[in-house]
Amino acid sequence: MSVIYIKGGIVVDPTQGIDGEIMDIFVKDGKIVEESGAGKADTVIDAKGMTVVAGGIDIHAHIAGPKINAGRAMRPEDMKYARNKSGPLRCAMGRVLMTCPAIGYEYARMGYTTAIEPATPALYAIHTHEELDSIPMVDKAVLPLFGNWHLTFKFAAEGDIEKMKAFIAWAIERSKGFGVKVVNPGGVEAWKYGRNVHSLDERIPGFEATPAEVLSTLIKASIELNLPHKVHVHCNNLGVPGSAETTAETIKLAEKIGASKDGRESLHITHIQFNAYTGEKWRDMGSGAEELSKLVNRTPVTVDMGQPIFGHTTTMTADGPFEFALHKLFKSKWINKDVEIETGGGIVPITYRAKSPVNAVQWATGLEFGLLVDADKVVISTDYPNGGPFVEYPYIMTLLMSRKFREKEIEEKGVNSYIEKATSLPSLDVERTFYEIVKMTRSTPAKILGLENKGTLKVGADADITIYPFDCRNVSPEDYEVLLKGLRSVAYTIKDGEIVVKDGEIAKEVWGRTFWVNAVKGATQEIIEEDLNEVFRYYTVSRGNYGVREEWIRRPETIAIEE
Amino acid sequence: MTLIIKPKSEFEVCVEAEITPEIARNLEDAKNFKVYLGKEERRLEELFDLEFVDDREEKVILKGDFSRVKWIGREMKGGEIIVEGNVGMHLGAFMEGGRIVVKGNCDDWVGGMMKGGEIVVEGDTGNRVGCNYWGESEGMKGGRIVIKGNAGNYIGEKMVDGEIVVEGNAGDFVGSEMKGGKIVVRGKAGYTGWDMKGGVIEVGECELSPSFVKDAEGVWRGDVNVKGEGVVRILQD
Amino acid sequence: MIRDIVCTFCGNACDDIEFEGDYGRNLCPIGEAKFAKKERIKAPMVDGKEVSYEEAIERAAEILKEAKRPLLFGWSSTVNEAIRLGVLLAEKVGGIYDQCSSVCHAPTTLAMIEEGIVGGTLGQAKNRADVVVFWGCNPVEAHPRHPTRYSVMAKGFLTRSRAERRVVVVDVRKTPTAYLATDFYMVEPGSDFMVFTALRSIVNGHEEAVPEEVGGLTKNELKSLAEILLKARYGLIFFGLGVTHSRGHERNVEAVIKLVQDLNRKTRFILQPMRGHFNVVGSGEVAAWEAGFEYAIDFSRGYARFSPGEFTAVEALIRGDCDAAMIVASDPAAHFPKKAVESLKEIPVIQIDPHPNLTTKLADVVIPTAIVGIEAEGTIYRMDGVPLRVKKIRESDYPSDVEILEKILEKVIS
Repeated sequence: MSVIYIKGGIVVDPTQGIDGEIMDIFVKDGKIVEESGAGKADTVIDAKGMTVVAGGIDIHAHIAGPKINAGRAMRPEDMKYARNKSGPLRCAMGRVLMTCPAIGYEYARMGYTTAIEPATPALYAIHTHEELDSIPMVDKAVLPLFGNWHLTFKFAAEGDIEKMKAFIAWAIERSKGFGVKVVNPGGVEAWKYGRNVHSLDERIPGFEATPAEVLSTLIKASIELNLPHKVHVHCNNLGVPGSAETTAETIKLAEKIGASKDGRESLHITHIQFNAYTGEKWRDMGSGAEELSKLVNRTPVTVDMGQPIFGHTTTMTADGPFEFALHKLFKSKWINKDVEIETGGGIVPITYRAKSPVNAVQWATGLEFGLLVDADKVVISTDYPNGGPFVEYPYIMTLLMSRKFREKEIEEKGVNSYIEKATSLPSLDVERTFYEIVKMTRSTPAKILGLENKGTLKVGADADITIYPFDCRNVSPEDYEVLLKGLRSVAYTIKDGEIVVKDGEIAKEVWGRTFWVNAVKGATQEIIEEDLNEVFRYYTVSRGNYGVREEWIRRPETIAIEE
Repeated sequence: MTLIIKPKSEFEVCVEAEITPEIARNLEDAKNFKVYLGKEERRLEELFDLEFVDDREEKVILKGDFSRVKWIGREMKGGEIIVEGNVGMHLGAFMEGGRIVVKGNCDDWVGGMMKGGEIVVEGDTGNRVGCNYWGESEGMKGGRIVIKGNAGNYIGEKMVDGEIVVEGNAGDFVGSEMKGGKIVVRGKAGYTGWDMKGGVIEVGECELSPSFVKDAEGVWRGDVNVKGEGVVRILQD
Repeated sequence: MIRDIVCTFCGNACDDIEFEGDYGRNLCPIGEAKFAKKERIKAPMVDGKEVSYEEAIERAAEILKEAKRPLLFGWSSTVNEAIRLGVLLAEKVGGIYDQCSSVCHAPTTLAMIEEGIVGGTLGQAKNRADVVVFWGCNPVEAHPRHPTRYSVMAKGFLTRSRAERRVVVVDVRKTPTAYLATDFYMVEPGSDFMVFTALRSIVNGHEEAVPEEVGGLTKNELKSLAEILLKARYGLIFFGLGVTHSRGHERNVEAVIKLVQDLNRKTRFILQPMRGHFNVVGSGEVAAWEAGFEYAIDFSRGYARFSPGEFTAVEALIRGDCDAAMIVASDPAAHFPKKAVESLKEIPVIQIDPHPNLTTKLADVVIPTAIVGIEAEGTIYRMDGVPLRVKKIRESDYPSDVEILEKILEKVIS
């Protein structure tokens, strides 16, 4: 490990309240250190005129596991694009869907250093970790799916928080996961009967529980377990007119329960854009972003955008009934997977067209959230690959920072004028500052994930650093082209104290850590022994073969929760 | 000018040479044109003898055995290629204009995802004539392919426009998921018309997918499973 | 006693095997044969002479580096860790990565590229399915514990016994599996495509498009079969090589996928290929996340290109597209068509395998390894993609194929 001085850069670090101060940053042994503790520099980066921020964090991107991999196999027409030829580095393939080497390289080239895979069936966790282990450059973690597990339904119906705590701790330990993901609670189980659930208070087929009870018990159990990241939910009724109401009800569940013990929010609504439509039919569909943003701003809830990008992509989610609906709508190819008695999933290719009124509203709605929710509560995401490629984050940042750029895009792309009636975007004059953008890509996701050493340049933090080749104090929303170019072309990315990108090109391939949360001490495991044994009668794998051992992972790092 | 190309010797592995008539414009460029022998990048003149005829044509003549040379005429936009013998895979893939004449036989993927121009094959072809490449939603979009001999399986799948004529017989899956254009098989074909959405197939005899309904004029219409408006005329019906 | 051992023979990957010394409980007859002691390759060989591992590895690396387009084939009977190294090696030497799927269930991948697939884990057969169809497959002989563990007699959560399942077999002959069935339909060989499509027409309400007889079944028989499918609460079709390896190939699979898509508009239905080798799924999945495609991948241009029928082992060999080959955990000399084997005989061949087989006889370099799942551990994917860890239950003096491949890769890169 070496010592790096980053001299004279313009530092932006919202965690420390630093907004554009000229400072030196010192890096040693993978950490940010005081000048006095740094010792002699091996490398000095002259960052004069450049902006120094922490490495970016993607809180929600489907980058590893059986879903994206089935998507790759189904779409050779998307995978045939070569991003990098084999040489000292790996060959990197894919247009929107990408191979593992491509995912790692593209994150690093964008100045991102951490990414969270947000949905794996625990049954497939071994596979998901194999793929995470094949993604170079970034730190990562994975959220196992809880929202349609038979045991979740059972403990939710019984309202048994203690058992739910034990179950969460057990499942996260077995899957070497990071937190609790919920997708369309109850709806994926209902899909196994060819149905869906349509409201939070509907009984889940075959069980006594309702989606509201599933969510409430999981949120309460996660709070009591002190998980670093609380419940991460893909709401019911995703992707249909009227979904805004379901989202509002979901947020109110968290409001009723309250914040976490440490004061942080207790619920993360992911890709909220996809769950924020008003109206009853596609004909009168509109954006519910204004109302929902107000609600988010006053409740213990955080969100990420789920911004669509016009063009081709592949949707993939554990929300099996939603993917079936997409398949029927677009008559396109369709993968479905019903997973034992715990979850399911689907994959369908789609295209977002600026001229389509529905897609235009989706595009505008995502941006409304990015503009209207407090920067401490909203994170930039495309819900990769559902909204589009994560490599477009600089484009989203620029849209949020420049009204003129938004107007230009609406004009040039011919975004359907229905957005004037159905969304507030055309009239919004909000322009995010660079400081807010750094929050939305660094400090806010770090806070939501409970990763104290991420998303900041404070002493002791991980030395994950992005250096942009421009002075953030001089960028003007008027010069959006300069801004976009600057955000797209990172001067340096530093990962764990090593220069991994220089002038936009990969300088070194490195392997990040995989964080997982061990909360088994936070709950009495014995109380669910019988339930587990009972439920494994209906699995097709033995309990002894269920789960991942730490030694099978390339660079595991345990976050242990004490009692 | 006309460029005559002959292999120097037998190749250790198949060669990839995206030769189009454009390379006949300049001798130096032609000599240095990049071709691939497995993982080795070579210059055209290293593997082939080149002979120039100074005329008013934009034409390439391939003499000798090209059956292990792939991608001839890829993305070709004009001019003419004459293949005097057999030729390897992917002949005229993504072709946009001009003409290719093959005196011998072709391997698989003749005119894959072709957009325009004409390919005439005097012998037989392999599978996937005018077909879409893997996972793509549209096949041939224009142009014409004439096969005087027999063709293999998967002819004109997902065809959008253009014409394929097979004078002999064709294998299974003629015009699957076809959306437009025309396929003619004068002889016999195997499974025909499956999931056809539009377009016309004329065939001597065939095994029609059990998803077509005969109309009053004796023409088969379908595929009913995709509410298709395709037309299949079976000449010996 | 060691419990929860995963059997490394077929795609069932039964994970409830218990070992007491050399005695394995719960094994089926083919699983027993797999775990029985068999002849081993004694030592590494180059040109028929015993050499050290170092020499054999050196020679293997040389062959791969010198070749213009080496073929790296096999993989379905080893672990993902070895497969990953195989894909990396193919990339670094500019060769072809291909795996056993290309001669078994590749049509399923090709059909999936066109249509996707409506699938599920084997737990859906056990817990949910009330109609189970075996089409062109014969688990009683090829996947012996499939009926008891998963699909016919299993005690499930919603479907609790054999009596609650309607079992349908469709095949060209009355197989042993057919004797387990509630209903058996005998079809003419090579008619699967027509039968699937006719069923689809009936399911979609277009009986008028169906002739009086298709594939040896009368229209009434087809209608009765369609009725069984439509009446299912949750149906499941297992299909095998009878579908993928008869006339129509990948379009047979595509036809049944489309049938299942349409059935999902009326009820719930899923589809599951009966994959053969215990890790044939892994050999596709690993390649997909590393290179973007499951098989038939050429790296000669520095990036990955996918072309079944071109970069699949048999076709590449027959066309003379490869000038060296490395065969890992497979026996192409026994299973490939004659012309492909002839071509293999003319080029340098490296074999990495625990056991001698026909390929050993034509190999120039032979490197023996430990047996995966008995002497070496690692990750494999069951036929439905469910990942499992195979264990090391016996010590061995042989190195694992992972160790061998790591060393070859190191030599190739340096």
